[in-house]
Parts: sequence; structure tokens; C-alpha cells
Amino acid sequence: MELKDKISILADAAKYDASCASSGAYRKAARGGIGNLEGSGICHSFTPDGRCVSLLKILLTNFCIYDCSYCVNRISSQIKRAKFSVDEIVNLTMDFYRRNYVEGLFLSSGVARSSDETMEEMIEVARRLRVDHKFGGYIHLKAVAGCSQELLNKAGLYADRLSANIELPTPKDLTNLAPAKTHTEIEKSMEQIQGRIVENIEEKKLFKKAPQYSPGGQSTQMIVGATKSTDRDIMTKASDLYGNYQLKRVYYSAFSPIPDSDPNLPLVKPPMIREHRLYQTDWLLRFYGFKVDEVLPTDHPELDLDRDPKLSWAIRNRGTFPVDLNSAPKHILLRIPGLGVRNVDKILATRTFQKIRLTDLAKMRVHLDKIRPYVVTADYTPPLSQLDSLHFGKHQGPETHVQLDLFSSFKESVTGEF
Amino acid sequence: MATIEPTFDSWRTYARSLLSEKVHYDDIVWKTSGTGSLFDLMSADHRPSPAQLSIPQSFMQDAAFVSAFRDDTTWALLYRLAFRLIYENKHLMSVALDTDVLEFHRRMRLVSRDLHKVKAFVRFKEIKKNDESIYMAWHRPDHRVLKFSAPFFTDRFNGMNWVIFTEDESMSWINNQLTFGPGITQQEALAFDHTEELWKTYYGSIFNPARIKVKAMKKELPVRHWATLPEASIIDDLLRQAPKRLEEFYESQRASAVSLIQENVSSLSELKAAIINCAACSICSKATAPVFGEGPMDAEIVFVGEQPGNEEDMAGSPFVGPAGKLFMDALDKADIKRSDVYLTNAVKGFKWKEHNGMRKHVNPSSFEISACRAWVKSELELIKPRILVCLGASAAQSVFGKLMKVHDSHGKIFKTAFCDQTIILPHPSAILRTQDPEEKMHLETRFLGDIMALKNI
Repeated sequence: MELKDKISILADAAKYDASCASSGAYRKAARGGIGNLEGSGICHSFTPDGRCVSLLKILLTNFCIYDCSYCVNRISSQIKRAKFSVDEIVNLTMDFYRRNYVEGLFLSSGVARSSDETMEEMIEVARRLRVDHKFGGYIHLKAVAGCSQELLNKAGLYADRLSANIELPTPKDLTNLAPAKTHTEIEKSMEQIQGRIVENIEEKKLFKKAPQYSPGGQSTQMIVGATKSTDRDIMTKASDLYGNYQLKRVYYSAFSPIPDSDPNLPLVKPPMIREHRLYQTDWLLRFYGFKVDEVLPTDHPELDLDRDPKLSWAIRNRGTFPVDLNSAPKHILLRIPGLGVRNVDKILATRTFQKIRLTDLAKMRVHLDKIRPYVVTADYTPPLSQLDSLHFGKHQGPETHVQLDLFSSFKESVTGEF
Repeated sequence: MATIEPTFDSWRTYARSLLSEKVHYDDIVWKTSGTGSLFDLMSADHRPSPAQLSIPQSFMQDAAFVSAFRDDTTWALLYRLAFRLIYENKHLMSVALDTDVLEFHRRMRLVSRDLHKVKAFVRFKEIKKNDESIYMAWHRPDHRVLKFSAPFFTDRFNGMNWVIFTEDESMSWINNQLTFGPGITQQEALAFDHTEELWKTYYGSIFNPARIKVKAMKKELPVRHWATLPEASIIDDLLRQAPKRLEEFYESQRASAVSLIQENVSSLSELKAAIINCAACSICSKATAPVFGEGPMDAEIVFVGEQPGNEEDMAGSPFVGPAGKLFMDALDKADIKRSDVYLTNAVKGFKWKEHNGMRKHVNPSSFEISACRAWVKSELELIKPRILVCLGASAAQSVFGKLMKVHDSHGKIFKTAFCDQTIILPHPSAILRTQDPEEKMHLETRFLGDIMALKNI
């Protein structure tokens, strides 16, 4: 099979993994070598699905012994199969990198014969890049489900990031769609990786020259919309994973219908708007100090699709508002709909010198009509009757009483435009 | 009126004298002429600093960066800020919401963004000369940012020789030496680089036609850069083909989708009636009819075989052919009644091909096992057996959802989604296929032993 055909098969099969980040690690270029890392990665291109291309994201092979029904590479799907040789991937990575197409390599794989055998081959790709080619670019290796701790230890010495995919939000979902995988097994890998990362930080304190272990940390991916699990289930799992394994990122990938799919899976276009709302919620948890129970309380387990989660929270928690921009502490300012971290910092920096007025908000390009009900400034106090009104929030996007289900023909979820 | 070259140094020279004479910013109109040399920034360090005018050094550094902003009003903005810093408020830059400060920061962000695009969108082509490679690129930045990208390229592509051209200037790194030179006005036809074809193949394949977001793409990958990005040449084609690709894709799926098992199927007889319409794979269309499982809904033991054979297909019952007879004998000897257990197959239809006028059994593919799995699953979920026996590799693949090694797993007790005591045994047809009488005897004895052992679980 020609290299070009292999690329088209093995990139096609890799496109369902949402992760493409190449950040979180620093590496000086080796003398005479190629490649470095500056901490934050670069998106070198964007595909017509609006997603960035920062890494050569490819599978070593799409042969797989597993039969996970959401996965295009599962044993029972009748797709074309291919396998790269170690050299082919190494050369392709170097050729693409030298032309400044990518930041590095994200290598994943189907489980060809056994988990360990596959993992070993992936590690060999990384080793050759680092050692033989003095490659200093980004390497993200997927931890093959069920591979040994020894191999995880080895993989992290060449990789900038490791990831084990949690796949689905609940153990029940996994049992239904990936009968041969369990959360326990996947989380065991995460725990082992995390353990090595922590150990390595200690080693580095003692010996500056200790080799780095997965300096960009670890991440995971969850498929959303292949099962009926709620947004609350999803974000609870994500929040647990962030807490338990200090993950750098949880990726949410709207289930995309796959060729030759299992008859039990939805055959619809992916609910992109829901994916977007989940990322917004993830952001609120990580950078705005929100808890899952606040954004997704038990009596509100699904995110509103037609307004962002912070606004939904504010409408449900009107008692918190209005907030005085000239006196409220940072964590309260961060809860105001329409204000982001950067603008909150600007307000804090400015208010030590002068009082904040509405015109200041306009200068920061804040949408005044949207923010007005929630804030008190030196020259403005909203009429309280506004917040008390039963109809509050109506002007801020239609109120939906019924959460649109995932598989409905919600306009944006079909067109994918947001 | 101050007419300057469009360079920071030229502005700086004029600004210094105007500032020391305290000329008000409203009294100057800044005009640029010519293209000037863009590389004077490098020599700027040798000139006296305007420290005597008490402008913070950090402002001058940022101003040099902002001066890359390709708009003549930038010179006036820089002068106004410098003037106000010296004569009005030396903390001016801390007044985050001052209109000039905001604009300064806005331009700085835009220049930063453009600089980022240089790092992202420069695409090298490899040109080979006498076994040595040189990597050439042409890029069209919005602002005059090339020189600021030098540290990035010299570090990252340290071990190669390269040249980057833009309209205004060029920058090259040959034998570890950084030099600047004039620009070229348009992309000169650079040699064909075979890797671009591989890159386009990659780009086209990593795109998912089920998720089109053109607006988002154009925001990050502005159309004005497309001319210098090899992959951009296939964007239009990808978009044009996407709806058709999706349509074909959904069309091909519809056949298997109809096999969705109705949620209201609550008994084995309803399932048996429903399977007649299954079109999840093509086996049953060639078979007489699907052969569904047989046995009581409260069966303690379920046996899953591979698929019906010729005789099962005609009789419409599982395990009635030669292998079935062998299996029934073993059950008899173990004192297990056929009517007490549930017998079924991983694949419900007889897959065959013609051989010498006979219908010869053909092994089901993994796809067919998977397509039929929904039926096996619904049977097992209704029965909830205490013991589940997979006879052979196909049965195990259906129940476990992955390839299992029958020999390694022989007789072990596994926990699966359907049953806490799931066991894998070789299919009795293996005994029939064995030619060697001694081996045959051995396998038969072992099989009987395995079936007997079920009673003790």
C-alpha cells in the first residue's frame, strides 16, 4: 500500500479524537536538531470543521481487537485497514515538521494484537524521533487501554503528554458500548501516569538532570451524545477526573456518526452546540470557581442549549445580583454574565485609581444591554424590579422549558454553526 | 508635517527632536514615504536613548513592536502617547481605560496576532541542491512583523538552512547565520515539493464532513493567507464534496439502522417475530430465514454457538445438525435437559457458498457478528442466565465484544455485561473436523467433561 493511502486511512480514523493541543511543555532545540517547545502550542492550520491542526494526528494502525461500538476502528467494522511502519511515521513527522506544518506528533492506535505490543511500537516511534533525530517538537502518545505500568513509565520519558481516554461518562455507558473496557482499568492507567508525574517533580527537585516525565501532563477524552447520560453526569465525571488525576484537559467530543456504525447508535449529525456548552462549563469550573452542583444542579441536569451556562446560572441565582463593580471581590465579579477573566482584571486594576462607570464597560467592549441588570456602577443602579420580574431573562434569549434532546433537529446542531 | 520612512527608527529620530521642543501632538501630521530599510531596529541599540526625555524603556520596547502595525496613524498615536507620558502623566500606561492606551494595546494585540500567524502559516518547501536541502517560504503578513519572528525560527529550525520571503523583506538562516534582505512582491514559483501532496492528503482526511464550521475556520485561517498555504487549495473541494459524502454515508447506514430493536420488545417471542425484518447484514437475505434462539425465558444456562448450518436453516431450530447432535449427546450424558437450557447463535442466519452443488458453511465476518450482536444482547438481557457458555470464537467475540483466545480462556470463569459466570468452550464442530481418531476421542472426552463441570458451578 502506498504511503498516501495509509495516510488517508489512518488520519481519517484518527479524526474522531478531539485533542490536538500541543501546550504545557518547554523544550530547547538540541544543537543540530530540529524542533522546540515554547509552552503554548501553535495551531498551524484549521480544517473546514473549524478545528485546529497543530499535530500530525495519526494512528499507528486501525486494526483493533476491541469492538467498542462508538469507534470506527472496532473489529466488526468493515473499513479499510492499514498499518504504518515505525519508520514511516518517524519520517512523516520529520518531513511535516521541517516544513512547519505541525508542532509535532499525536500518535494513537488500534490495539493490533495486544495492548503491550502496540504500546511498545508507539514508544519506539517516539524514541527514534527523540534519540535518532534529536527531535524537540511535541509528542503526545495515547496510553493503550490495559498496557503495563512499565510501558507507561517508558512512554512518558519521550512524550510531552500522555492520555488515556475515559471514553464515556458513566461505567454503565461503557458496559453498553465498550463491553471489553472498564473505567477502573482506564483510571488505573491515569493513576499510574499521575503517580509518575508527581514522582518526577520530586526527582527534578533533587537532580536537575533527571529526565522529564510527561511534562505536559495528561488529558482524556469523553464521547458525548452516544448515550443518554446527562450533562450533569458528564461534568461530574470530568470534575472528578480533574480532581483525582490533575488532568490538564478533558476533551468532549460530540459523537459523530461513523461509517459502518453499530445499529444501536444514533445516526444523526453531532450535537455541536451541546459540545460547545460543555466546553463553556468546563471553563467555568476551571477558571471561574464554579462547582458542578451550581451550574448543573440535580433539578437542572442538562445545560441550556440556547444560552451560555453562566447566564443560565445567573438567571437561576438572581439573589446574587446586582453586584457593585467598585467593591465586589474578584470571585464575585467573575460570576457576572458577560464579564471574562481579562475584563475582571482590568476592572480590578482600574478601580484602585478611579470609580468604574458604564462608559468604562463600553470601552472594554462589554455588551451593555446584557450586563446592565447585573451590575451597579458609580453612575448606574439597575431597578430591582427588573431582577424580580417573572419575565426576567426573556430578553436574553428565549427561555426553554424543555431541554432539547440530543437527537432533535435543533438548527445549530445540524448546521454546526454557532 | 513630519515625513518619515515607515520604520521605528525614523519615527524615533523625528519624535525625539519634536518632543524635546515640546511640539504638541495636535500640531503634527505624520506622513510616511518610501519603503525604507526595515532592519534599522537591529542597530537602534547603538543610538542614544531618549532617557533624558524620561520615557520608560518598557514603553519604547512596546512602541517598537506596535510600530510594525501597518497604518500611518500609528506614528501619531505613538507620538501622542510619548508626549503625554513626558508632559502630562508619567503613569499614563497604567491607566488601562485611557483611549490612547486602549488603542495602543489593541494594535499591540493585532501585531502579536499577526506575528503568531507568521509562526503558524509559514510553509517551507524543500529545495535540494547537490544533496543539500534549503527550505524556502513565502508569507504575506498584515504587518511588518517578520523580524520579530527571527528568534522563533532560528531556535526551532536551528539545524536547517532556510529563507523566508515577504513583500517587504526577507530573512535567511544559512549555516547558522541570520541575515535580512529585500522582499519579493509576489510568490515566485518555487519548486514542487512532493511532501505537500502528503500534507494535503492528511489535511483532507483529518477533516470530518459531519462537522462543518466554515465561519469558525475562516476566523482562524483568514482567506487572505490561503494563497500561501498548500492545504488551502483543497478547501473548496472538501466543502463541495462534504454534503454528498454525508448523504452517501447516511444512505449506506439506513439499511442497518432499520434493524434497531424496538424498545417495546419484552419477550423472546416478540423478538423472534421482529427479527424477520432485520437488514443489519446481508446473510439472512440468502438464508431460508433467521434461526432464532430456543428455550425457556427463565433458563439458568444459555449456550451461544456460532451460526445455524444447513440443517438448522431448513429446520428453523438451532443445534439440530451433526455438531448439534454431538452437543445434545453431551448434554444427555451430563443429565441436562435440552428443554431446560436456552440455545442460540452469535449470528442468526446461515451463511453459505455453493460448492459442488451443496450449500457449504462459511464463517461469519466480524462485521456480521457485530451486526447480529444487538439480537444476542436482547436475548441475554431478557433471560439473565446464571451461566453463559460461549461455544467457539465467534460466540465469544459476540459476548465479550472483542477477540478472545479460545484456548487460553478455556474453562475460565469471566464476568461480562450479561452474566457473572461466562465461560468459553471450543465449539463441538471442532470435534467433527478432527481426523485423527485418538485426538477426536480426547476432544470428545474433554468436551463432555466441560459440560458436566457446568453442573458444579
